[in-house]
Amino acid sequence: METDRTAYLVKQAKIGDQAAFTELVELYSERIYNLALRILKNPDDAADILQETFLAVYEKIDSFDGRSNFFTWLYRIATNFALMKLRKEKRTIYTDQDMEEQFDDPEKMHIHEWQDLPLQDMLNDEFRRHLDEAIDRLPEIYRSVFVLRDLENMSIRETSHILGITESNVKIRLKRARVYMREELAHYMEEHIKGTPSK
Amino acid sequence: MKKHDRKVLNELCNYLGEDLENPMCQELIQHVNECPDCQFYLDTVKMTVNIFRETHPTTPVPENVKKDLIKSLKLNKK
Repeated sequence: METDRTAYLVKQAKIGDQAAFTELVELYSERIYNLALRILKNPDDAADILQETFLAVYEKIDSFDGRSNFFTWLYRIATNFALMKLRKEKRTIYTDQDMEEQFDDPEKMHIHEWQDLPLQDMLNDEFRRHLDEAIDRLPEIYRSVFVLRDLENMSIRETSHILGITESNVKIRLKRARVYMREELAHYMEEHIKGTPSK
Repeated sequence: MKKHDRKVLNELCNYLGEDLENPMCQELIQHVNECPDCQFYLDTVKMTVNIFRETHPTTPVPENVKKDLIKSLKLNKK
């Protein structure tokens, strides 16, 4: 993820080179904007997080010691801002305990006949809204792992560094989030597409 | 889902938190390959992740947002 160019730009930005900092902003703003958009589901909020993140980076770049990857450091700052906003402004329907009880027991797995449905035809606005609502109901500690790992393609190790949790915790949260998302999709398919019963 | 050995189910469940393309447990792979229900379950979890990726593509940063960002940082755009 980290390139020689990024390392050079960070080094220059640390000694006050504004052109280097501008290039860093241009290199990474799209990814930070999309990370925030995926967590918060609101373009205005994502724009706020983008600005807060780079303002913080601008102020703190002197203290970036290079021990971690710049990109991981940047993602960590952005994720923290996004999660703080989520905590302030939003409520989730599911609690951590709900997630543990409902999505940790493999014997509660349900199988719905939706695998062979024409998914490409279903990718309409209503379907997307349903997916966004499903993400909205996911507690933030699961949402952040799902977004970082499955939508942003970060590794389990990178996700653990960004969120400041262990790799085991990332895996547990990822498993619950994936199972939750799968169940949400399965119910949607069952109710709106075919009305097929579970096996 | 039909009755499974608890150990296999737990392994399947743990696997759902791993990299779905790189199963490490040979016993689990063998079981999944021989069990249509588990195969189906894993396939639909993978499909779920793919659907979320497909429905959440990368969005370009709007021009006004970029301008505001540069302005707030008081940087001179090249």
